[in-house]
Amino acid sequence: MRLNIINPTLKTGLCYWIESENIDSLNWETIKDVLRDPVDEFILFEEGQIEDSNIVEISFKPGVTDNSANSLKKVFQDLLPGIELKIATGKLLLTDKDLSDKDLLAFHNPLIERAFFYPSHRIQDYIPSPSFPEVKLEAKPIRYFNLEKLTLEELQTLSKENIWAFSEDELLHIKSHFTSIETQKKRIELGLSQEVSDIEMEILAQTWSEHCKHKIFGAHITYRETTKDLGDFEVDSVFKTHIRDITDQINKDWLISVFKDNAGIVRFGEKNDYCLKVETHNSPSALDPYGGALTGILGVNRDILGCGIGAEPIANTNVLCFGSQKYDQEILDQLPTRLKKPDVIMKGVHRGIEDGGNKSGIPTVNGAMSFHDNYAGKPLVYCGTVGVLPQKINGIDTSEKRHEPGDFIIICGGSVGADGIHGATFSSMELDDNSPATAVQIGDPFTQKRLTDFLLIARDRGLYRGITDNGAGGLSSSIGEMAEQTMGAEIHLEEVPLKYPGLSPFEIIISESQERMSFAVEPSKKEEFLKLAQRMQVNPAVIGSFHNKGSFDIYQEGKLLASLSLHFMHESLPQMKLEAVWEGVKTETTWFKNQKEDSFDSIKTCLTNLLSNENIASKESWVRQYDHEVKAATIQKPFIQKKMTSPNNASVLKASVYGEEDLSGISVGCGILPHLSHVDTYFMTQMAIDETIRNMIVVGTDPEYIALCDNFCWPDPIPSTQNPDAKHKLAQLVRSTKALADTALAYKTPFISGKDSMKNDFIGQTPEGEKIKISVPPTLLITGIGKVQDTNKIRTPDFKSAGDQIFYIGPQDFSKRYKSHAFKDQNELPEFNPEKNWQIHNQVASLLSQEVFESIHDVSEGGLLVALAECTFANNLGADINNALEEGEDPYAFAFNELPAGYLVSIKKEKAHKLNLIDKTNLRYLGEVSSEPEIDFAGERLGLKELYEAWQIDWSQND
Amino acid sequence: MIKALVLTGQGINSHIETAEAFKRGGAEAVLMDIEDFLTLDSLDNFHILAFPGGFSFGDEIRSGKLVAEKIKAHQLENIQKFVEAKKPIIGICNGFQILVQLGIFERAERTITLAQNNHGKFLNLWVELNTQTSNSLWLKDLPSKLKMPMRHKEGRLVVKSGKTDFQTVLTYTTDVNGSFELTAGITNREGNVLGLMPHPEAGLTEDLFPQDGELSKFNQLIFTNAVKYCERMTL
Repeated sequence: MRLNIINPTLKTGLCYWIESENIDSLNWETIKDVLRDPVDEFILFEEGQIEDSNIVEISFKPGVTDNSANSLKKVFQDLLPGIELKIATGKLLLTDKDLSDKDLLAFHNPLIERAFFYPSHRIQDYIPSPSFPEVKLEAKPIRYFNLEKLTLEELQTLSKENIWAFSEDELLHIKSHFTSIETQKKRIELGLSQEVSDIEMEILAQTWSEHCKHKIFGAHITYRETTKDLGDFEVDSVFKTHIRDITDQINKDWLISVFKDNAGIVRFGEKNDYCLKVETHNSPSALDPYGGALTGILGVNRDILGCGIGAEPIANTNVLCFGSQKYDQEILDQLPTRLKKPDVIMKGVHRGIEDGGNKSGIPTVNGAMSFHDNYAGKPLVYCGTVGVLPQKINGIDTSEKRHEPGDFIIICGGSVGADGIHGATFSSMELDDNSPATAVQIGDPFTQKRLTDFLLIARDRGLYRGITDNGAGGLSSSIGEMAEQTMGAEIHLEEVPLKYPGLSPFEIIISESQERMSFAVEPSKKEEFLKLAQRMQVNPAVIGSFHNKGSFDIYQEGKLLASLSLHFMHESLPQMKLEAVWEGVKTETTWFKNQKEDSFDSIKTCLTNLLSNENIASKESWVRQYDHEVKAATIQKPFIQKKMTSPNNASVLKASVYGEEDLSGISVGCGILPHLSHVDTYFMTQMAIDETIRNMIVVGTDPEYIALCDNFCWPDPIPSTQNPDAKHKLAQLVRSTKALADTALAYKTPFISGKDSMKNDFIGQTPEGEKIKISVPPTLLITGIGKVQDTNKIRTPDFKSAGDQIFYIGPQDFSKRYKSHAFKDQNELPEFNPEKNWQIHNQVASLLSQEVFESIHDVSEGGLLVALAECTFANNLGADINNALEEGEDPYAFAFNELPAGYLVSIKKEKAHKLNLIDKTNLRYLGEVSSEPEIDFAGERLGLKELYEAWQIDWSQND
Repeated sequence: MIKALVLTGQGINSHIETAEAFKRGGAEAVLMDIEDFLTLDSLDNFHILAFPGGFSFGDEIRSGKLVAEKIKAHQLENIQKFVEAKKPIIGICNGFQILVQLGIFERAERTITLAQNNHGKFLNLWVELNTQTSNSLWLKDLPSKLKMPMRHKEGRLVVKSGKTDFQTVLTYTTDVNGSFELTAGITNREGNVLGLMPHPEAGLTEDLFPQDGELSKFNQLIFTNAVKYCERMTL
């Protein structure tokens, strides 16, 4: 049966394919009543007609997650017990326009959706057209590979064809392991084939993928430079040397778990610990922006759910990097074929972030959007989550997993399908025209919410003692890693719930199908665990158990299909050796010609240009589509909403909502400055850390209690014929991690978690048929979590009353124009003195705790005058800073330089003397807050209304 | 002690703060999964019934619709008894959508629904509300202006015919979503069933307000009113 429900007012509709073998007409009436709202909808043909409209019908291809259908099935199981229904859904749009196949591309993603167009004169014949989208698969038999006979070249071909992404060294390592006498003997004992199976090759491919193993961050790197500023050096793993060891050295007593679990854990409360994790989901978002971003959010939520013994996600963050939304047709015509337009990517990603947070009941509290021409090939989608974890549950520490041999492996949540196969290895390769559709998935926030509800109850009842999420690499990675604790595990494939038949063994083991968590349940708790899981409808399945035989074993119907030594899987891979060469700044290239320059004829034009620069302009219309205050804990929200809107800095959650008995809060901030990367990633990194710290200090964060998370998204730094400047990119990476180490030490601020994504390149064709590569600028996101001791002392950035004095606190380097959003062509960088900056941050924090300020804002992208404008908006109070400049100073450098450690504060006259604590070289009186709605600077009068309108740009102009 | 039954599960997500509002109002708040609620033989043990905000069943098909269908199949009679006994029921956001889909505000056939906002977008925005004169126990002693955040995509009230059984009790001061006569909240004729799109439970304390934090006590009063009413009823 096919039904079309039309909403004539909205000019939209839904269509349904419903199939059943045992259903009667009464049941159909029930179904119709559920599907159609009697007030504003009708069933096409039965209850109403469409006049003069064409119909666009969009539905999913077979096997793509259909959340509407899944929800409906659950409800009909209840309303029509005993009746088996197959349901699929689609969307209808009514339009007056005549649309061609090419036009339809604006409405759907052909990778996962089908679209059909029905002109109005044929509506009478309209029924949802394609047949029921059923998956028809046949399981491929297990393939075996004779490693004795296969040559390296043949192995390399196999690796590429199968999306294994093995390097030459890895293939040789596999070959020598499986052909060794020891392994051969062992395999005979186990009754396994002498040849290696595709299951084993696939498990290794996932486990050793750059995505899971972080081989570049673990490599031995020789760094050389021609500039002589850092000196030549060798580094044995930038992760160990520049990140983990530095955190050990800083040695804060509130660090509970760093770099070993799904997320870092810090002790910022009396009762609770907090965890932070940030992930990226770039490749999937390039292929399907909505599904990629949605699974990104849900995935990082699961990292928190799987952290320690299971934490509760309480806040999401997202930082999104796109190509510009302002390209004219001339530029868009130069976009490589098959690339989605930047606005299509942005809208899809945004909707994914929206649904991921909103439908999960997790507030989206902090984030940023960054625009750069070279994100047009591949967007960056950073998704972060903060979690809360009670320090003890039933008297047991919660930060450790405690599963033991003999514990059952139980998975709960969604079932396994062909969607999400090869996500981990695929993201470890550059994107090209042939990227696989199976790597695309659509998340199901509803199923995950249900899973979350269940997990927290099971946790509090002590029903399991080990947990992890199933993310990249599927069961092969999640159980493979959990098995390290007990030294072994076995999985029985026939017990794994499948979405449909026809999956090969290796597909079941590596599928990244979403919304699944794996639990380790001790035998005595198994029945109770299963009972609760069934009652809460989270689809539990006992799929195996942990043992201590030192191996990861895969069975089907009692027969051992594959067995891998855990030591070989996790410990044996030889370290990569790489070279990095730094020769100073290289010119930044992009994929199109025709770059326009901004003008500098007045402060006013420069400021309005900056305010409407996409990187600085208000993101309010996007951000208000995220629920940022569910759970009623968000006391510092993304915007200051008063007469007009000012942007806020870091967000603050009040800890009392989670059981703390004081006025403390948890702050979350971020910093990302890719526009500096091509000049020097060392400085870029210093500034990203400083910006994060600044916007957290502003909301009252105690500088002694800040922990950071690093997320690197880099262009490929591994040399190949396609990648001639790999050594430069690796040098950019080493300079960045070195800066991370140096700055973290100076700021005594540890890193607790991080992730790297090292293949952010697109290779395709220009419209003229030439090969083109677009690599993202080296991009580092710093995310911070901090403790606010007293949330009552927080002051927001908006100016409060006319007559208050305005001061700039920070280094006063206005002698030159430095690289910044205003001065794009400059390559000179200002001084960054970590010790001095840290002192300023501490002094500002101390003044804040004495409640000295009326308002406080950090000075970041755009510089001083942009920050000042942002402070004026909320209360529509202007500023007279005509006398701020000193004799002979360049007003442009003063207004628009982007310097470290800069703060803009307003203060009551009688309290101004309290600022004497700050060194005079770092303090400047600018002027006063005025009741006139204008900024007076350098003899120019800048009306707030005009500035506000410039800042609130119209993001829909590309529609 | 007055017992408020606060529903949770199946995608509901504002149950904690809704329960908190009743606790602060002097009641005991009992959180219960919808699936368990559907199996209850009677609701006599409870004085107040609350449907909090969230995304039940992922807002698929139509917000609130799928939970409402399950309730119709298993628990409608008890809810009708609850309404007839003049016990307080509140539905906030998704909870309001559920109540509308249950047809609880009409005496006979459905005449109202909540549809997608006219701008088509989810919007999280603090809004100012005007309180209208009514007999509702929920709105006793409230000032003429309230402030709280709206957080929804489907909150545009649509009214089918001129005949309306409900009373409009809260209106937006500006048009934020195209709702019928700026309506933000309604009650049934008797005033014991309140449905509203904005979230009073998200603004119970001053620190959650962007400004005018002193108004937070009136958001709390909505919940306290119901508790006090029940205390008077049971005396």
